Amino acid sequence: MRRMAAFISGIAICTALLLTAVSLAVSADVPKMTKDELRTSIEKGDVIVLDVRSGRDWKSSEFMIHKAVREDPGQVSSWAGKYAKDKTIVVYCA
Amino acid sequence: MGNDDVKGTVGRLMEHLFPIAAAMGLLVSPEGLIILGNAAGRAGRGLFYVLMGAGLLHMTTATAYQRIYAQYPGPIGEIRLIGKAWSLLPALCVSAFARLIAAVFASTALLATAGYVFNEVFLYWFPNLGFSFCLLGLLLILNLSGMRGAATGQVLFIGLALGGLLFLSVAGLLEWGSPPAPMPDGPTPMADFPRTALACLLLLIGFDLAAYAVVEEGNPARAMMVAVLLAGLTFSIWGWVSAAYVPAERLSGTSIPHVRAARAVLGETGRIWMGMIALAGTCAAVNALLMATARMMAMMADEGLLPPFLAKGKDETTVGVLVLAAAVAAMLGSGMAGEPILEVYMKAGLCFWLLHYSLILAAVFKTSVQALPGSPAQSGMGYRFLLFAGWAAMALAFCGMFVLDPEWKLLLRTVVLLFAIALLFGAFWVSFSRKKGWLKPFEQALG
Repeated sequence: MRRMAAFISGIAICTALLLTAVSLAVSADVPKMTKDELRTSIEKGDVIVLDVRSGRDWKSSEFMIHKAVREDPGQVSSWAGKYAKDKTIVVYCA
Repeated sequence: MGNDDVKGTVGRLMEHLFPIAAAMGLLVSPEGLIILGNAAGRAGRGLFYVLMGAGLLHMTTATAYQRIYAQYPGPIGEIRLIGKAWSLLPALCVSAFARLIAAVFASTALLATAGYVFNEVFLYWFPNLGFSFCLLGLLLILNLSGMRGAATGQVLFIGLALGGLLFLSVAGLLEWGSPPAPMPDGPTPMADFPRTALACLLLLIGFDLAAYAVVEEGNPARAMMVAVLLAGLTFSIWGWVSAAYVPAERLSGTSIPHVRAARAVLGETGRIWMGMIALAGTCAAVNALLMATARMMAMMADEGLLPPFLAKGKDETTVGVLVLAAAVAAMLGSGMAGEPILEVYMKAGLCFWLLHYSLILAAVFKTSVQALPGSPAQSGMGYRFLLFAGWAAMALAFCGMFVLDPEWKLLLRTVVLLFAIALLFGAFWVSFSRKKGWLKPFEQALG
């Protein structure tokens, strides 16, 4: 029974690692910015930074990116029109 | 002192410490520290008195457990008493279900938060979800290694969490870092007493997990009382320090009051200490939930109250632990941590737990009043009044969960839905188990 339990635990851990790898691969299509690029853009005033964390992702965190605006990710239609389309919009979550 | 003497001493010490550590598991969780911090911001110095009141009410429940286990020894004595006082359905749908909801949803929330704590306090490059899974894996291995592993881990986690909290409290009281902010003149107004009272009651929920940390014939009530007392004292001190160092409005409104207070007391060092306390508290809470809930499910399965596969295996808690861990892993993997509904499920779990305490108090009151054959010895009027007061407080707190919640409709729908699921399963299983004859020994033992 213990061997079975250890085997199942091993399978679970491997599955978790695989899922993490897949999610990283899938998100590769979305344009990204390094933190230094973002810092420079914020200082220049070139970007609008939106904090769309929700639930525990928001509650548990101590920090927020400087000058980020908090928006509800579940209500995109209510706030999407507020921001100028000619600016770069950086959205970050967990 | 020979090796055998040392082992014997350590073994006896663990036998006494483990039930207390199990009882404190949920109490020193990071969720408790958040509730405490917000309550301290609202109540100021008055928090001590409200905590004392809440502690007395929970002590009443602990004394009720003392009577239960004197009559029905063994961890599921509470299930036997509720079954005797009314029927098996409330025991299944409320008492067992409360632990199950907490074991899945509270564990998910706590592990998710722990991931953020580790990422933001210790190693910024380590993925937070990855850490949550690592922690779950560690606790799973501890529990699969048997009761000894879970027990040793639990005592260690509680020691770290409680010790760390006491250290920060002493640092705050003795002003080792910056001095506290000047307190306003005159008595601190206790804003929003109902919310503070409810918070203090919720802070001490979970001490009954000690029931599943004792040997078969043990009585865990003493461990429960010690846990409530220890937690109450620690919370009073830390609450006072938090209110002294952080402005009331900030303390009551933030989602991380414990971190803000720790930083105010000892700067970056305090923040790191609180990070360690939060991680130890998470391990203590999740370990206690996994261990106690798995043991509860296994013992109930042994008596025909739950499907028999839950008690399979050389170590009867193995299947239960695996099922619970798999459920938590699925929640984490599906992104439940980022869903606001998780908070609603956690509140629903607290509602069920308050109902469970109401059932316990009412069952002991009923059996003592009716003097049912084989019931606990007749209680004096004074004790019966205490039981009634305790029951009334839990019932009020249950109502307060809805009245004081701005999203009460969603919470009510969730509680009703979860109760309906529990009732459907409970009714089906009791009927099925009775037809198979699996419940006969349990029901015969009740008399």
